[in-house]
Amino acid sequence: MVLPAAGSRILSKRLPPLACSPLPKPNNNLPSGVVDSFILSGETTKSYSHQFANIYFARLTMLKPVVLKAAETKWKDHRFTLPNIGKPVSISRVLDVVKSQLCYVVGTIYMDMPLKPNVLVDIGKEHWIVAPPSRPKFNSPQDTVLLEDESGRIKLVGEPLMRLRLVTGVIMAVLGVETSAGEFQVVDACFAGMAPQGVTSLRSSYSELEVDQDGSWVAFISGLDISSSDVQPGMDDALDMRLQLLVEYLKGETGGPQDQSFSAQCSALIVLGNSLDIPRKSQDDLKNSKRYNSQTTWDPAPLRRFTRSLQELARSVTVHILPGSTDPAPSTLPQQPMPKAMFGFEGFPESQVFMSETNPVWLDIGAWGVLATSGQTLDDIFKYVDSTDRMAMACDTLLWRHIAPTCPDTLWCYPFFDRDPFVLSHSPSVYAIGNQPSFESELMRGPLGEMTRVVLVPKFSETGQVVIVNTTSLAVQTIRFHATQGWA
Amino acid sequence: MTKKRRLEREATITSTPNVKSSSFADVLEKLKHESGDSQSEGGAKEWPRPAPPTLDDSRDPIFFQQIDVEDAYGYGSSPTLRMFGITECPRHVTDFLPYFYVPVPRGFYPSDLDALKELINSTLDSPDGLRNVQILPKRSLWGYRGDAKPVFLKLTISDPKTLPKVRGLFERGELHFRDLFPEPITTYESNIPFILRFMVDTKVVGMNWIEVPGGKYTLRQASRKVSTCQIELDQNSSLRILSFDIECAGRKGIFPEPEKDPVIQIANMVTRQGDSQPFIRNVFTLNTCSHIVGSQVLEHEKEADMLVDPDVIIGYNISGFDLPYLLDRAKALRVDSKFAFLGRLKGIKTQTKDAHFSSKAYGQRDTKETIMEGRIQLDVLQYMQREQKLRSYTLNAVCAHFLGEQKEDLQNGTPESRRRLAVYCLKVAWMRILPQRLMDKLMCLVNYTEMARVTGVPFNYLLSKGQQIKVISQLFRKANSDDYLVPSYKGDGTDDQYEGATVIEPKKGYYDVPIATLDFSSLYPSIMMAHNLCYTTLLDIETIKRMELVKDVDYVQTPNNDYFATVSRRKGLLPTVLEDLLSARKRAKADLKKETDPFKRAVLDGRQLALKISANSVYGFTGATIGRLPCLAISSSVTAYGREMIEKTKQEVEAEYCIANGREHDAEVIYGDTDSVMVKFGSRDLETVMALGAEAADLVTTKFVKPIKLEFEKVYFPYLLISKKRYAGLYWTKPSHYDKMDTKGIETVRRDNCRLVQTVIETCLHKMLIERDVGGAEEYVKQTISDLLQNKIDMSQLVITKALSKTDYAGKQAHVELAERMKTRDAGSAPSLGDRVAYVIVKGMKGAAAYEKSEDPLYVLENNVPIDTKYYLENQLSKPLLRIFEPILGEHNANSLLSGDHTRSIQIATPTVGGLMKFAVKTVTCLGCKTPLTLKNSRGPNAAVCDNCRPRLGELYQKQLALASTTQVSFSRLWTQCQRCQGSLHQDVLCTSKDCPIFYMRKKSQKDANDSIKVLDRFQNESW
Repeated sequence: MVLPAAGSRILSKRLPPLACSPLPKPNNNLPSGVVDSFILSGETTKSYSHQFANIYFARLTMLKPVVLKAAETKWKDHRFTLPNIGKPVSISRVLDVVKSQLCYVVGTIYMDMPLKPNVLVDIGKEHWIVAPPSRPKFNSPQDTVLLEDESGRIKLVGEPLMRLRLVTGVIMAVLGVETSAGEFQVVDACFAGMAPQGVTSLRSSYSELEVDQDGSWVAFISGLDISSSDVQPGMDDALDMRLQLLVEYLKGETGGPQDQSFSAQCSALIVLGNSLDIPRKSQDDLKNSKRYNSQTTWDPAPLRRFTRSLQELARSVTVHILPGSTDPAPSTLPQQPMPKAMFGFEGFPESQVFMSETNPVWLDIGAWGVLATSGQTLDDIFKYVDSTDRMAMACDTLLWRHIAPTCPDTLWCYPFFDRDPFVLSHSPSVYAIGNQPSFESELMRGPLGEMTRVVLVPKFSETGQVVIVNTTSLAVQTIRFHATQGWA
Repeated sequence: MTKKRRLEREATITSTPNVKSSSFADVLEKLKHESGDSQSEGGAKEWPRPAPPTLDDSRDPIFFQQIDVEDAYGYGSSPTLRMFGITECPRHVTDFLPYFYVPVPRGFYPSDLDALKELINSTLDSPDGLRNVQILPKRSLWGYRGDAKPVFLKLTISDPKTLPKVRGLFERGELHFRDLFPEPITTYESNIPFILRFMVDTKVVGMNWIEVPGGKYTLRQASRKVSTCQIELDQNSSLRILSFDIECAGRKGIFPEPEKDPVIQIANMVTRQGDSQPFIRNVFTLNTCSHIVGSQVLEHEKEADMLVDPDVIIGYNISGFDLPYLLDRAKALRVDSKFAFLGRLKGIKTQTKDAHFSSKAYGQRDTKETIMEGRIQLDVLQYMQREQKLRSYTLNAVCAHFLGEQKEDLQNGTPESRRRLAVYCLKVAWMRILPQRLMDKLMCLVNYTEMARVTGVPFNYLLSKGQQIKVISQLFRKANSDDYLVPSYKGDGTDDQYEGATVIEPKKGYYDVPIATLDFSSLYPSIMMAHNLCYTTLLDIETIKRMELVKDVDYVQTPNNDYFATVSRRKGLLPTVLEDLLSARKRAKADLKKETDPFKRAVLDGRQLALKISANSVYGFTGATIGRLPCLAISSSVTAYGREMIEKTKQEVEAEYCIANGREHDAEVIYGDTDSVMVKFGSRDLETVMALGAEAADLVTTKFVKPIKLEFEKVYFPYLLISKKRYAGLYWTKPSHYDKMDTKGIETVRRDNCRLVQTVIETCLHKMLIERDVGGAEEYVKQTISDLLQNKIDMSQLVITKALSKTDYAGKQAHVELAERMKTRDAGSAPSLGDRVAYVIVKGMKGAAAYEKSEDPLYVLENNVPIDTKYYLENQLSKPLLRIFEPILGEHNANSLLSGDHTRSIQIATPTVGGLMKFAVKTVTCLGCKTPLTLKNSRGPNAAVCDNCRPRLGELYQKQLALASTTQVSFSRLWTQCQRCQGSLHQDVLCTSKDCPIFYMRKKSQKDANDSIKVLDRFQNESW
């Protein structure tokens, strides 16, 4: 018997009032084209015939006007005007920077890092293609920052750079002077800033909603890591039990009346990747097999267990499932939806409440939508900056208006031809990043009243935590499930 | 703004006193300073040199580092030499005249001197041709004839150009002076280059410091005699190094011709020696390709050169291409009157001439020589070809080898890429530092500077001439101080071969015990010193009889039956030279140990290296039959002694270290070559063997004449002895850790091998020697062969390259045939003359000749043309593999590597072109069992599996996913790497460097990624 008491939960002091759970329906707040921006369709998009330069070009074209405007506003201040030089001048191309002239210019950051994994070096070794990162961080004191656009690149120097957590691919404006050594001495830097929320700013409705605790809740979960049963049987049972608790909780079958009322209000469960932990046999393992012929072992058990839970869940809440780095989906971003049929939802009556999504994904929930990723974007940034503050990095991506700047330099992505889907034209209400080491949350506010709830969702398999966010008030809570030790 | 202020405060708090906090005020200050400077881009203000100090020619001595000496004509009637140094202005040396010697014939009296002079002058038809004739007591270098000094005539001639005429009179026996010169006679010292003559007589060596005392010169006018002081300063002045490169607008498929194609870009980079960053960077570009603008660019070039005034000009293949091209281009544009002054002298046009270079050591090569007065040219390509043995000498290959980086290569580019070169010059300029960095990395300049100093030849000689000139220079220097005269030997190029070094027959095998190596240090020089072998001590039987010399007291008989006087009679010249060199090297090495400054260390290391090379080349000089002064008696005696010593060493070691002598094991000499013997002492313990080796070396040393010294240097463990001059081993000098893997003669860098051979051999050796895992090496070979047969080997591993040097080869050759075929496909991208053609061997029709089966690797990738794996296995891999495995496995077992289980599974690509494929229809097959899919047996023609395989869907999906992920990740990794390499994220990668290891891989990954996605899509149509 599963003891409900065994699963404790942490809820906010004020509990949401009882209400009928509304079925999610599109509320059309997201600009058209945003919702399915990560879907790859058609021969042209899915093609690998292009090179990566197009993404950078598209990114710069999209963000340059924004950054330039932000820079103009920031640096028109008289304190940046020099007596014998005058006001800072805007330079349109990196190559046109004139020596000894105070100016600002917009471009893409390129970090030259000696420790960055280099395929040319790896190629010398035998196991190279899926070489796992050997170190947690790749930054070093020898890193240099370069700013480039289609005309060329220039080396940036100066102390302000130290304070910024920069990664390759960020669009940034720099104010400074080219020195006689041909380097650009940076005085100040400027990013795009938070993207706006909607064409008609709904400030009034926001403040109303802040008071009103009404509205629906969304649950985020990540890192279920359901693995083959033969790996660690004991661990798995515990995980299975917690998963069962979660299912029952969301179905309103467990917990006190307050819990049940909450679960009734929870309209969607968003699974942020790494649901399955299927060990992937690498090419090298196959090579080393004596049979000189590639063979894979396929254990359907984890998938079957996961499918069972999903089908049960889909009866009460809408389930959005994102692929993650360990899921059976191609590993390049944006990861495309896993085949729905794989989860046995083909022909299933509730198939409209089970959504196999891309990673990352825009979901049309709440005022300005939910932007969710399985965490690879943040994990990759983490490797290349001299900081361990993951929340700050997540907030940075909002200020950069780009959720995955390290694509495609160190984070693998499709070679998009005419757009960069990772650019934020619009700030979401909720920005959830899965598979993080611990739960963190912050409310980001923009200059025009934009508000984004940034949530780092921890791994369920390690913490047993589920994060729930109110899509209107943007309140956030965690619920912890755990099974009693020794109980099996 | 609040945010900004807050950040600033943070900064001031965190910054330590040492770190300058760059608040806005500081930067403002800096800006003012910057704005005070000139506005020039790329450090243009630093172009002019600081003005030279004014000198009083009667008092002030001039110090300068001499970098170039050359002869010049046209300054009055007397020949003039110019010396260029770092303190500017060429120094003119006059009053120095060429001369040579002839022996005074019997019956010639001092009173005849004037008559002889008149006769010669009248024969020459120039009243002042022969300036002076003197009688001086000198002696010939050749042979020992006692200590008497016979007299010689010194003929001083007014002009180096007249010298050969005068010499000819004597050498052809055409001088009818009272029948005193009835037949051709040998002249002495008549064939030394004039510059060298001057340097020898004034004791000036290359790149040294020269002091001209006050009063001995007049400024800007011809100076008086230059006296020199040979201060061996351990430093160089900061030379200015200009690195430059040009880009031409080529037309499709045609190598640029200076008459037609404009220069679109010149990138310059000036560095001070020792600095890591260039202080001047500039690029001259040409946006439109009209000829008028072209001339402007050329003017720029001229301007730049003059302004920068570099001392050293470097670049990659500059002497072969860039410089002549610029000059020819200028000529084509008729601006050469303005442009062609690259030298330091006003009014002297720079010209290019073809030069043919032939040397036994470096092979033959046709080069172009561009003379630039007063500047040193160092073509890094030439340096590489001389000093390094590489698979390919393209800049890319060289960089990859030494700097571990790839260079973007835009040859054979489309007009698009050319345009890009012109527009995005900043990046390209950055790339141009490469030759510079190469040079720093390999210390070419420093090493060559030291070489010039040690051997006393001008710097430019080192690249443009062979080894001999260095020895000649030293020989003359030494000979002159001892009153010896060097006979002018007319090389007749006889092919007299003498017996070379001996080789103790190798006992082939794989030795899993430590093998000690005993080396004779500087074997040949020490033999020459030990036995006093020299031109000056050479004896013949008649002399011995005439002078009644006693064997082993007055002379020795070499194993080659030549006779040489002992030191008691006369100390030889060559041994003296060698002693000087070796003791100087000892000193340099000792200083090196003490020195800490990296720049000085580099100089010292360069010096000791130069000394070593010089010492070793003395022997070669005596043996070069087409050389200036070959003396086979010396060289063959040296090798004969060497042979004897190797044999003796073997006997001594084996006699001493045996069980009969109370030792634990019988020592065995398993191999010996030239100056080393490999001894198996039998012990398995590394330390014991090292101790034994050192002991044995000392023991054997005592048996030989000084300064011959046997040294224990290293232990090989394990050691793979394949055959004569072919071995590999792990090299240990200390028992704690091995130093490196050492291989000899296992030629993996041969260019007509594909890279796969190199990779496989190197990996095998690594596994055998370092991992000590012979089984693993075998397994690896089998796996590789299996991969090869299954088409899994990366294309770049299979590519073979050959240069397309001329079109009309007599026999049909693979790369020529391919170039022809490519021309019919697309004339633009086809390789043109001078390019290297890359090809792979593909399956051809049965019985097709090898040259018909060559194919362009890119075409193969695009069209899935099957590779001829059999060719690679049998013609490329098998021989080298068997060679290294036979000593270990035996002949029979080694053969099993090439056949067996692992060769059964074969996959052949389905080509999309050629033959039957025109008639083929493509059908989708089941991913599980390869059954063609139809509506009947599956969910439609674009499903993933057939109905029978549906239960395996999960497994098959997983398999395809893994495949797709692998290809996608490799696509991403490879193409982003290329972006990094080209130094731009916003530009498409255009590089076509076929030497780059990822060039084909990246193309293949693109195709594979596209294919894998299509396969993956089919799973969307399935039900589970």
